[in-house]
Amino acid sequence: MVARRIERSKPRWVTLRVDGEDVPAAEGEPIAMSLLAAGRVTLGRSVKYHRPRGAACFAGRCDGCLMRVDGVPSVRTCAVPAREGTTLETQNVLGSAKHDLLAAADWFFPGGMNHHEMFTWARPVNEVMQRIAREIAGIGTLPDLDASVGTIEDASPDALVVGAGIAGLEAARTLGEAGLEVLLVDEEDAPGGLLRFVEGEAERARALADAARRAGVDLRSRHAALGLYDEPERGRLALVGGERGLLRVRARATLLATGRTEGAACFEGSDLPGVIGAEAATRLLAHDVLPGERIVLAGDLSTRRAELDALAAALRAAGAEVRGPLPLASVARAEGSASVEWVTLREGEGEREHGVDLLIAAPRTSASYELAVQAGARCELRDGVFEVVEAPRERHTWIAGALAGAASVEDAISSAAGAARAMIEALAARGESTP
Amino acid sequence: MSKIIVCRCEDVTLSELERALALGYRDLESVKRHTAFGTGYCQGKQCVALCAAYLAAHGGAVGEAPFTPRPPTRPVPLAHLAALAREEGEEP
Amino acid sequence: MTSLGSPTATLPESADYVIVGAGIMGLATAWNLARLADGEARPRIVVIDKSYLCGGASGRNGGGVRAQWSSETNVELMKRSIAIAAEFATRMRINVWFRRGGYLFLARTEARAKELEASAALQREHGLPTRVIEPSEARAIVPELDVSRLVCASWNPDDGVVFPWSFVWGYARAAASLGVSIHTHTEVTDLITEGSRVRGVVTPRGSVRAERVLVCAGAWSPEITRMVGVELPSRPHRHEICASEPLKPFLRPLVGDLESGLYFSQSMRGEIVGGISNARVPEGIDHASSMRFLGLYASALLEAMPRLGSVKILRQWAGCYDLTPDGNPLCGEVDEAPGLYLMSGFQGHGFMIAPIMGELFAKHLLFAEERALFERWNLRRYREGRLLHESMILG
Repeated sequence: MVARRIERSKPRWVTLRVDGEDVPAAEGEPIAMSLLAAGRVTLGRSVKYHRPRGAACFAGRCDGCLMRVDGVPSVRTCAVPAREGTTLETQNVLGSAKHDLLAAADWFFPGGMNHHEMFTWARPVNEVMQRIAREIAGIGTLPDLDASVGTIEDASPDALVVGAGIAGLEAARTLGEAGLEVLLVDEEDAPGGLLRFVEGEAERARALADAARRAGVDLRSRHAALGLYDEPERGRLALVGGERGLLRVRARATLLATGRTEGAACFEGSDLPGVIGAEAATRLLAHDVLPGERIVLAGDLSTRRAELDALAAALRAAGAEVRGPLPLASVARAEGSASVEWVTLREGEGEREHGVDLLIAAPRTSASYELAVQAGARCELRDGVFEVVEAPRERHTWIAGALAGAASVEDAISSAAGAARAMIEALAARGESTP
Repeated sequence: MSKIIVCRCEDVTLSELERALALGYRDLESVKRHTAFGTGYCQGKQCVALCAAYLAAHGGAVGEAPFTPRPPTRPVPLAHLAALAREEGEEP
Repeated sequence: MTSLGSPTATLPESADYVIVGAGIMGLATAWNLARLADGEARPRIVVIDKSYLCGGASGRNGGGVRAQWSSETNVELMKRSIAIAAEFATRMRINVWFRRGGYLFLARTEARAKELEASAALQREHGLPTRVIEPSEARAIVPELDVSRLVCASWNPDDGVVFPWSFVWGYARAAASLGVSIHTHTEVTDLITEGSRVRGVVTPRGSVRAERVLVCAGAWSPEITRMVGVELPSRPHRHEICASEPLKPFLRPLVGDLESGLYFSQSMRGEIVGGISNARVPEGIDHASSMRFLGLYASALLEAMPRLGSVKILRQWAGCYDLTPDGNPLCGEVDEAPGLYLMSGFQGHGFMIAPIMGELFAKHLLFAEERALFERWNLRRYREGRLLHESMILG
């Protein structure tokens, strides 16, 4: 696998300590990207078969980049900014991530193990099997140190907006300009959502974020909304996680603008390190990391054609050889010992093998429905992905943007504006006047 | 190896989905319990849609909501959660 | 496998037994009825559940299986239930991951210590190896445990934990292979009566007439009996639980603190699974999760095991305990509604006691055995003022 850095910016360099070796990193970049840029694609092993694992989403939504960081088990390295001296250790291997002896399990059970029925013919053998299964289970080990209790902050804004993509920003700005107290939380490093990575749109997102702040919006990046709760004797609360602790939010109205998630594709070898999403590739390029030099790019062309074309162009401009965008169904399998080395594509009547460093597999995205469904929204499976089809049943929660099905930036903005107007009206009608 | 992994976090294979269907489990919650897909570190973010799509295409009854979404939406350290024991307005 | 909610499967028009509830209690009873009856006399059994398998408490519990109880009845029954659990995997040919890591009950006050000592003595009289141990020994069993404020602990190394869902699937499959008909996603909307006698059930997919209707519906049982005007003294009480990220095995027993209701153990996947008491719960049956639970649980768990601070919680869920005023269950025929039988009110330990109760219930129904037990636990004790007691209720 040949990932490399694109020399565009001048970062401050720091040194990470990875399994006892020094690895250079740009200060503040996601460590999973530092590792990739340093040629470390295989970061760990899966739970049952010890199949190789590496970062796949680079967005804190998979299990591929987990490592032990500064004595803490199973930390998503894609969410840890590189600092001088950060210590990383590979977990769950006998040997190394690239050569794990326990991968014999994968080889020993070629068709998979039927863990429900295996070794159930006699009690002694069943007990031995269970003892072994328990010993090899689990990923991380106990932390090196105790941790001090985190911080807790209580907030009671008029409106809580979850997600600072274009829809969330637009809604927050509108609510702020209407005189409401707005708390805007976003799990990313900086506001703007995916538009941060789109040439021409990034500036628009930045301007909108500035306008929101000028309108008094309390914008918290690196804050993920964790759940919506109805507490006996406390009412409706939202739990938000920050870096050092939590926010407990009692908002009079909530807007969910959580966007969409690019899930995993599914084909033989789709779980290999070096098989990543298109969004992941976009994030890497935005951090000046070219994730590979020989790339196959395949995805759902019916919904993501323009995005994938733009990605292919950007990868080529950075010096990579890109085959695609191809339809996702043309990928027959991905193969490699510890990371992807070959991709077999269906070509015409037959198949053809291609040597690669990277396979970008970009299926259709699903609405990021979790919070919406907690708030009573209804979801349906449509064309193989989940869409929110009915807004939250409970009165104080709205949805907007790509979560609500907006297919373009303009749609997202108008849906956000509509939701914000509805929220302003609802709050006024409840007899609680805006200041 | 020729396994097709549908859920990376729990190493659930496509053949396990097939087996669950063959055993008569058709709804998403039952198949999730039987195969463990969606119950690992990412709690289904990567795999629920693709497993649901597979079930829907092979005689399953996917129904409405994906499956009951369990908070939290991402892993939270116990040390952070412990601070919740302090009530709103209570001094630390 | 049987219909399991297939819309095309038809409900039989009649049966010898209709069992309302396909949790472990209903399915264990169904299997035992089918296997214990003589081949020719094998009864026709239909099990009906309004949701999917493992949708109720059977699918929501932490898998604890213990014989440490404060009443003789529970101790004896649980000894037998654990014996069944230990053989379940090989008998039913499905892994249940039964691990005898022991149960460690913590005492932080002298009063609790005395209670534990009394219970331990009772348990020893019934052949259990339970001992009350010093904090230092507790620390040897769980090195990460903070024992600085511990008075003592009650320790039975033979108690254990299981993976609960496999019991439900195992019983379902075994029952189905003996001809039991199981219908999920089918709600019982009414009971058929002739006078005060119950004669069957009504569902949106048709009615099933039966001489005996068994209510094994856990927290939903009062809804069923209410259909014939019988009010049960039981109330649902939401109990929350959560799971951490999977860790390499380090925790041997299930650790419990009866004061706070805190309990936690390590599952076969390595997750720390646990819960704690929470007085502030909504009325009725509720499976939503709360923030308050997270705070209570996390602070209590870290007090017991400070090293877990940076271990992360992945998900939380809830189930309903089926509580009765005297902490004992409701079993046997209902005087006011002959033909209707109860098997509910097991607080938060219905799962672990179901293997033995399913067997005894079947013997009671088929051969009129276990009269003393079913008299002791009959609903009529409330009318007659014969309430019982159980103090070691956890969670």
